[in-house]
Amino acid sequence: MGIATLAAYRAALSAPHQIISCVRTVSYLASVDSWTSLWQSGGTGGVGAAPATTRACNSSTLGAIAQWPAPTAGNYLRLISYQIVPCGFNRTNTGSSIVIFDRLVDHAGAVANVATAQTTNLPTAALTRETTGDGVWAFIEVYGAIGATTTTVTISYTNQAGVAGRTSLAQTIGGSFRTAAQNLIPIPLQDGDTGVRSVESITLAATTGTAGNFGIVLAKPWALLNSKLHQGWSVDMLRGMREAPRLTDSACLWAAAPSLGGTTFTTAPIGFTLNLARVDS
Amino acid sequence: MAAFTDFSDLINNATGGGLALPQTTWVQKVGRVGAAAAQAPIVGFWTSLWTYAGTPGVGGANPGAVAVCTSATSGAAPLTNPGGGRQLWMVSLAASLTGAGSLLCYDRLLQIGGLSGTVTTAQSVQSGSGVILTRYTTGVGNQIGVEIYNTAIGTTLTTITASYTNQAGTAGRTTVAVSIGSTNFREAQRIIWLPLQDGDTGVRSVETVTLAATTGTAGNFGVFIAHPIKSISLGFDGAGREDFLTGTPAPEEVLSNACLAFAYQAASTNAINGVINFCLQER
Repeated sequence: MGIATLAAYRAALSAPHQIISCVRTVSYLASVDSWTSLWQSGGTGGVGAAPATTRACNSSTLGAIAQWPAPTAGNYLRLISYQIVPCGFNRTNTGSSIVIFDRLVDHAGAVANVATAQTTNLPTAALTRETTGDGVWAFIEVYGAIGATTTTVTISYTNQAGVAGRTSLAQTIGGSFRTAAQNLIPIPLQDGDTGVRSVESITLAATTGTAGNFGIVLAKPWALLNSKLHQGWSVDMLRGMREAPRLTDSACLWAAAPSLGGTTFTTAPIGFTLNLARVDS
Repeated sequence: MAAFTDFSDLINNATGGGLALPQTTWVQKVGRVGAAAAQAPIVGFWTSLWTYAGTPGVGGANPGAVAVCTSATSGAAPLTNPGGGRQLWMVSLAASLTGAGSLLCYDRLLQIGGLSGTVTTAQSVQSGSGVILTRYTTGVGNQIGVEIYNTAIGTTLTTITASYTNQAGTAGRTTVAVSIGSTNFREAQRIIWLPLQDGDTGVRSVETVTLAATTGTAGNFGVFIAHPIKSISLGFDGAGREDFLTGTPAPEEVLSNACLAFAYQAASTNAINGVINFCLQER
């Protein structure tokens, strides 16, 4: 059973089984159509780095927000409330949301000045969680700055049904406000696909002008932390939250900020706290 | 069956204690349609996210012949039908997009593409097709939308009307003439809602649409029938979240095989990118 009553929920709010508090330093904000990865930012969990090749990530991977003791068998941790202080965002159109993902697999070693299919360090490591790939999103994360020439990128991947040779739709890469490390480029999937099991190659339509270093991230979204503009916000089931996502044991929690409008920004730390209750379902 | 007996019931369901696990659905949208950049939104006007790329994958192809839409239709958000005679309820909707505005989640019941911006005679939608609604079949609460697909229509301003059957089964009803063609009324991914005839509260079928005059360019537009589910406000930061127990009046039922789709009324001209998240619970 879950948290059966309002009274039990209130008790859980007062005494969560696990509290994950995190501060990430926002040192860069992407713009236009890129997300911002907070993997390479400093803060709680350390500065995440590009993998040497490709790897499955878990809660012990440097850069993961937190580690926690797994609940006893038959029990699960569920998010029951959160607080967020979005002082890290300040573009022309400021942002106030972050998405917490389970970073399942990452990869690096692709370069942005090659217009042929790249297979360096690919295929991506096998998923150890969400192994079908259903609901798993694919991103490109920039680790070393790429070039200022705008072009497009596609990936060849295996989808959630195990069908190989799928090709993503072309997505913009390179160009103004998309070159720096921490750019996180969402990859739109081929029609009908609901997730990615593995990525086999990456192809740019043209060079961006600079090699840089970028790679694939496969991740499953876990929680959307909305705030209100310019202020901190607490959210629970009495104040707008209607889901209590289950936290997978050993998940590699990773924060990313969805695309923001505008082209100028200032940066500051962003803080959030995740409160979890232990339930048997 | 009632949605929820009380707040404890809702919490119990959300935390996995109900008859079935809740569905939390994630939809990512990027500002591309097929192989090209999507059309920029225009402040005050509705943009369809139906053909926007993302995850789940959407190929961006224009719809063709008139057809009922379901959860299996390209562009629909993922959905698992309820089991055991239960109903499915949308209990929250949240989003983080790149600009302020309103986000509408609706059940896209039926669609057609391939209509021309230069034809001034009645263009068939459901007339003669044998295609009928499979959800919200009484028509109550259904609305008619015109959607410009991936090829803009012309620059000449004219008007459009639809001939439809209303919620009482009365045929030959005519929507109020509204603008189509010319700037803001011709661009790809634009939605133009058609106001119903006085007194009507819904649509059972759309027989034809008629342009009063040519817009000058054929382009590619179509018609869809929508049943609104929920809408939320997106603040200046492009973020919004509402729950439907303590927020708006009640959770809304989502029917089996629903084709959940999204439309955005812009308060910003930023290209649309971001994430939409909603929670469905069975009861």
